[in-house]
Amino acid sequence: MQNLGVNITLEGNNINTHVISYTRDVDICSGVGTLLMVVDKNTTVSIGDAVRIFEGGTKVGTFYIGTTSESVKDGTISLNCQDMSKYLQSYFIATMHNVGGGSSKYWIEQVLTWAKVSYNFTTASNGYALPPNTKIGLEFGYNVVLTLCQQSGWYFYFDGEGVCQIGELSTSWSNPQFTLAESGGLILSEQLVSDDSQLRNRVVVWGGSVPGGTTPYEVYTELNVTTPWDRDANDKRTIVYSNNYIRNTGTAWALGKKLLDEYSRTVSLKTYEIAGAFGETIGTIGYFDTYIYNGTGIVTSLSASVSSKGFVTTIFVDERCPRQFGYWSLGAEYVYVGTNGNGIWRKSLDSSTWSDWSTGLTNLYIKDLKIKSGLFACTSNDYRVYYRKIIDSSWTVFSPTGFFDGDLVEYELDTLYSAGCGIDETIGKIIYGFTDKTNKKSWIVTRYPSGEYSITFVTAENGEDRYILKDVDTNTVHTVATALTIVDVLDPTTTAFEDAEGLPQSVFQPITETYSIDPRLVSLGPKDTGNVTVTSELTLSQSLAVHYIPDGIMYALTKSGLYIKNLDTGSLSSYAHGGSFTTAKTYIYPETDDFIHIINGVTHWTFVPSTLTLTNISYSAVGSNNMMVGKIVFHAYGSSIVGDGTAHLIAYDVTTQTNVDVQTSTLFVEATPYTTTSTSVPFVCGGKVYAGSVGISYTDNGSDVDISIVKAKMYMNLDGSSGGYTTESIIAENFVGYNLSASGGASYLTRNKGNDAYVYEAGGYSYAPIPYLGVTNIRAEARVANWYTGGSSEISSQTFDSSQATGLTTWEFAHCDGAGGISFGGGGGTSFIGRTSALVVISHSTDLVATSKHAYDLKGGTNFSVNSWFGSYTRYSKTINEYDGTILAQNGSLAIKSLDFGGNEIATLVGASYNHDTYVHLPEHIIEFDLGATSRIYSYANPVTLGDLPGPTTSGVGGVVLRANPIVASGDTFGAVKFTTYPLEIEVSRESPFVFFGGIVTTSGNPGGTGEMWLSAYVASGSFVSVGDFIGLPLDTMGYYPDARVGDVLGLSSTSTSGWTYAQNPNSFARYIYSLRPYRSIQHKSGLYFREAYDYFDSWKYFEGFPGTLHKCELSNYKFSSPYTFVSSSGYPSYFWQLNPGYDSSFVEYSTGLPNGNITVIRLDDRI
Amino acid sequence: MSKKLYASITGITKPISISVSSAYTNASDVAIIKAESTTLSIGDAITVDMGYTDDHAILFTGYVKRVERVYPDNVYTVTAYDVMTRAVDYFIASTNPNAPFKRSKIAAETLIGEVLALAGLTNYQGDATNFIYGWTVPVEVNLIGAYDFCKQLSDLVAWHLYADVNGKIWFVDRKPYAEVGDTPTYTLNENKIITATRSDSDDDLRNRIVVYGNNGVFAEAKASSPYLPSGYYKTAVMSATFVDQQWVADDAASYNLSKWNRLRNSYNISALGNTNITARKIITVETTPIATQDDWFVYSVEHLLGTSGYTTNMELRI
Repeated sequence: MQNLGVNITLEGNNINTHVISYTRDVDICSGVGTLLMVVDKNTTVSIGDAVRIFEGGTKVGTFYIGTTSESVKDGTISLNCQDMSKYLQSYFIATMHNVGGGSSKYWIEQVLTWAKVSYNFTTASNGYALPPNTKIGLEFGYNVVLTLCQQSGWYFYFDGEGVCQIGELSTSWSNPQFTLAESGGLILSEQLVSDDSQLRNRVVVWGGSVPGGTTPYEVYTELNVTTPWDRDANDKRTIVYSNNYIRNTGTAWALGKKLLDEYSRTVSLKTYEIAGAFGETIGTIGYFDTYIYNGTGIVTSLSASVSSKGFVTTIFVDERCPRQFGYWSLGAEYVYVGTNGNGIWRKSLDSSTWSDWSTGLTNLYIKDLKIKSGLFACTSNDYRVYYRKIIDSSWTVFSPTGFFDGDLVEYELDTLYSAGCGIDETIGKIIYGFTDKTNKKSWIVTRYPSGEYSITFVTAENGEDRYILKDVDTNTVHTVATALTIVDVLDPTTTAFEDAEGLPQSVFQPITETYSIDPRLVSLGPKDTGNVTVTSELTLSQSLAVHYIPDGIMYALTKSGLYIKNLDTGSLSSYAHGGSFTTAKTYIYPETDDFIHIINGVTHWTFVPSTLTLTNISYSAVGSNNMMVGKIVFHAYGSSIVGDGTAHLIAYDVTTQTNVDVQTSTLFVEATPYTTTSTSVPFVCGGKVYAGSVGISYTDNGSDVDISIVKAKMYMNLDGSSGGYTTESIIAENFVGYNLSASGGASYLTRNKGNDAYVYEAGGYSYAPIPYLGVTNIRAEARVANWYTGGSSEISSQTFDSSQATGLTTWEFAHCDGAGGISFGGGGGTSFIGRTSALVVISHSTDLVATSKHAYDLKGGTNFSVNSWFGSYTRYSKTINEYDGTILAQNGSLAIKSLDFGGNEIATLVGASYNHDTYVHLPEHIIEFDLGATSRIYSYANPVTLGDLPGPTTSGVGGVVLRANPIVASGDTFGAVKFTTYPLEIEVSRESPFVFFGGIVTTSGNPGGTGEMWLSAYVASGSFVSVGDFIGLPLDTMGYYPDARVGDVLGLSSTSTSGWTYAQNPNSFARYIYSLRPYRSIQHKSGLYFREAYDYFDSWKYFEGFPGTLHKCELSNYKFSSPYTFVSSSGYPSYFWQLNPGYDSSFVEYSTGLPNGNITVIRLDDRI
Repeated sequence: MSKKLYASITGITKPISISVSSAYTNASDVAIIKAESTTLSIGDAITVDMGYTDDHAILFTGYVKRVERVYPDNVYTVTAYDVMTRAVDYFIASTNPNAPFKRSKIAAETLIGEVLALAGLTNYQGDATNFIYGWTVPVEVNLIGAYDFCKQLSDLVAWHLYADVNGKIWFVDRKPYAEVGDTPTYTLNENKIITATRSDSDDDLRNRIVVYGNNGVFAEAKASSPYLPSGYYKTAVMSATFVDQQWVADDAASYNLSKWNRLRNSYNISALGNTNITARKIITVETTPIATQDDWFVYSVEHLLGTSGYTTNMELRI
């Protein structure tokens, strides 16, 4: 025994030479330690003798002999021993005691004292207060202590000295106390067992009877969750917990939540046999870097076996305790943020200090970050992906190779882009998405704990393999991905074609020359200035097909003419030959990665020719606020084409005021985007705008910054081509707000440093700052700026403040997009055409300074908006999303250019294309369509959510369900399980459900509009959408969803306008979806909203508002009745708020110390 | 002549061994598969098609309940149960403690169907029992597993509740032995038998059945057994609060006496693998040195396929 580092004493005497073998077991679930020891027959033993075990020099237990049995044959004595729990288990409380409302701690102390057991409380809490009418007695002391510990969230065990240690298990998943690694060479064997024997998704808690005056009641509560392992809605696996000591529903709820937290998962038990003493006790958290598991875990049982065969310790990790739950407390944990350009930062939950956690990252533009059980994965905005263990000092780049498509063409890693990541925490497996945006190929790479990896080429069951992956994630059961997909490829030479809309099939024949149209942005203007002409007479014997690229809809008509489909009604417009027709489609593309996406409003087309000879095709925007954007490609199909076969499309370029032959790759440019019949003043992009006299000054008095709009008047030319001036005032005065006061003819905005400035419009509407034209360069900030126009009176003075700068000038405000400040360029006494602006987010501590800067480095920025003011009460917003690169607001030519890191232009919006009704998104990389070379038109449409192979349905009902399979194996194909409008982001909070969200603000004018949110599993009014199926949530007023989480909250209640409260006596449990409303609209505040995840008919409720545009949020998962909640919003650096658990907590800002890069993701370890 | 083994299992490409067992007394059929790798995880649907390349059949469909991986052996063990496990997993606890699941004047087969439906098992067929419960007091079903309750109902009428390989639940009058009128579906030749054991026992014999019901309802049925001393009774007690009619108790006692007042005549055989032999079937076993040809009820069966080949172990009753 001495050679094994073990010493054993019996009543203080070393008996090493007498011990033949022993096995020592201790487990956290029962708190009981046992020892089975075999000694030789010469050992003198007596019942009750104390045996003390020292392993590796540490006393690991004191055990008392309970049974001895001697074998004459073997000459041995077997000793069955138990630690001090033996005396607690044996002690029977023979008297019934009325507890009289005492605390759990008090009565535990009483029982332990009666049982002569030494104890120590590791918590200062008194534990749960027992009901007044509760009685204790006529049962064994162990059972009483265990029950009272259950209610108080405590565990207990007997230490090496035999002292009963009681309290919460203080854990820190971020600071594992030991590492068990394969490389250590100590592991003899390892085993991972997963089973659903302890999976429960419903708990019923019964408590005691409460007198309650004339209406006594029984304490009762029921909680339900849906787990990924649920077979369907009927698959309810129930825990019934009955405890007479529970005296109110709130306690019952809290216990029920703890039970569900503990049991709404499958068992994932890790068992390791290691050589020699372990050196740690139960309850310690370690990091396991092993073949079967990679992540943190808690040691729940130990079994040390010493014999002639050696010393082997078996440790059991992450067991589920049937009788104890929720017994751990949160130690020092961290919240992490990924940023654009500054890597990953973290701060302790109880600290305000941020620290850089980016060591090892070679690309600091973080797109995705996942953390589960101490295992980290992140992706960047290029091909680089990383992983890190909590025990590591730096990130490790993961560079898989072997990306082959279906034709076995290999793709190099550095030509791809990463597309999200996910972690299967049951084994510590990471999945990464990769995509080739040019060739529209995608892969999912799975990295296993052993370091091995597999690569799966994303191929649908129908053979489709052209996907641009957006995001991937896993909940251990399902692996899903979202992607942008190609609906179809129109190949004019194909002999048969059926379009995605099920329209008539046709055979497309290309005209003799295909057009090379710059794919990045083409806007077709109205007929008066933007005619598109086929210069060469093109006579079609049959018909004309129109492909409207941004929508991806394809038209194949049997009649000659020009058609477009009304996407809202799904019907084709009437035959448009020579007539006009309308599409009401508002088209949206969110933050996809390859295109300039344009949203158009109501579009009216007029198709001029009344014959089959098309000589002058025009498009016009009819009515106000209308325009046509998008890319139009004409294909004539049919058997005969008359003409020279070299039809050209001509667009009028408002910048050069010339016709442009688009065949030569010139951009279609927007001319005057609309005409108006409104008497209100339009702000015409492309028209001429004259800034009249505007005087703006500011003073910084040290604590406040006063902005004075002295006078302002704007004249503008309603008709850019006619030259006639129509003067209208678009500038109001008398800005009134919290800190505003009018002085003479001036108005003032006073911004208290460090505070928000509020300005309201008189009509009760609240807007983001209105981009009044300034003639000076002002940089100001307004964290929440709700502006007020006090009236429509015109400022008569036309004096131009010549002291101000001339030319294109800019205002800049912090938190500009939508709800915050705004940046805008105005005229400086000279005319300019259109206008351009870009927003930058500046430090809130920045004082007003003058600047002439009008080119902004937007690295790290996002959501750059161009807002225009139209009329008195209509506001339009333009948003430009740019995750990296540079937006250049170019003076003179009035262009917004998107530049890549190398300064290369990747997109340009020339002229007034950023008009009032257009959202332009400039994602990071623009890829051109290749129209000319291949005669093939790639039409992007209907992004889909991908899942892995559908498996057999468990209900016998048809439909597609996800295969319950956590492994994406090479050769697997994917089933498109849900078509969505946009490629959405994926979030799986805890185990279920998957939440798919995204979309974009689409309405012209006020922010808002449509977005999408889908759940992977849903229970609504008794009907069940199987796990793997999807159902859309009613959009309500949420609009675009920039982020979402699912969390369990105790008794949360709210109204839609006054924020939230926690019910003091909750009687219901809910799993809520939290999401952000990023923008302010007339009716609804920007802020954090929530709704019940499993109540289809629930509505979004306002939770908390924040200044700026909201970007990301995060919740904690376990333990707390009200979870940790985090929110970030626009700022420079981003703003960050934290809500601690507790009914009376409020959000606290922790922005100081954050880097400038915009926050792209917030994460806690999912185990928290 | 050797035959090539065949196995096709959902989510497993390289099985090392397969065990599919089914028994009259078990709630669920069980499949245990060892494999080098698997894509299966908890809750997955699984189907086991096994046998020989020229003669195989689906012997199991169900759900994965446990996945175990051992290193350094690097072997996965997948354990799955048939659909009846849904009823086993489903613990009935009323949402409203004051309004539990209750039914009045309901036939046993209907009640079983409704309770199984709670667990999502709707592919069910129950024959008519003529047993009606809840005449005076509604049958209350609460704080009990769905299968346990249904099994209690089934046992009371001496019937049998099981799930077939297609996932359909049957509630039928099927006794655990061959009866007059049974038609054998397969004949087992002696040359296919590897080992066989024939045994008789009175372990299961009960010649007195007592049924306790509600409100003093009590019934007793007993009969002398030639295998027991005269006047000696081995008693089985059945108790159910929902038995509130004397005739129900009387019939229950009578039926169960008929079912259990007999010897257990067993024939344990290990044979060459044969997918035709499944639980609850009637097969003919040709004459062997220990038994003459007769028709037997397949009381339990285990299909084993592995490196040692394919064998079918069965317990037959007559």
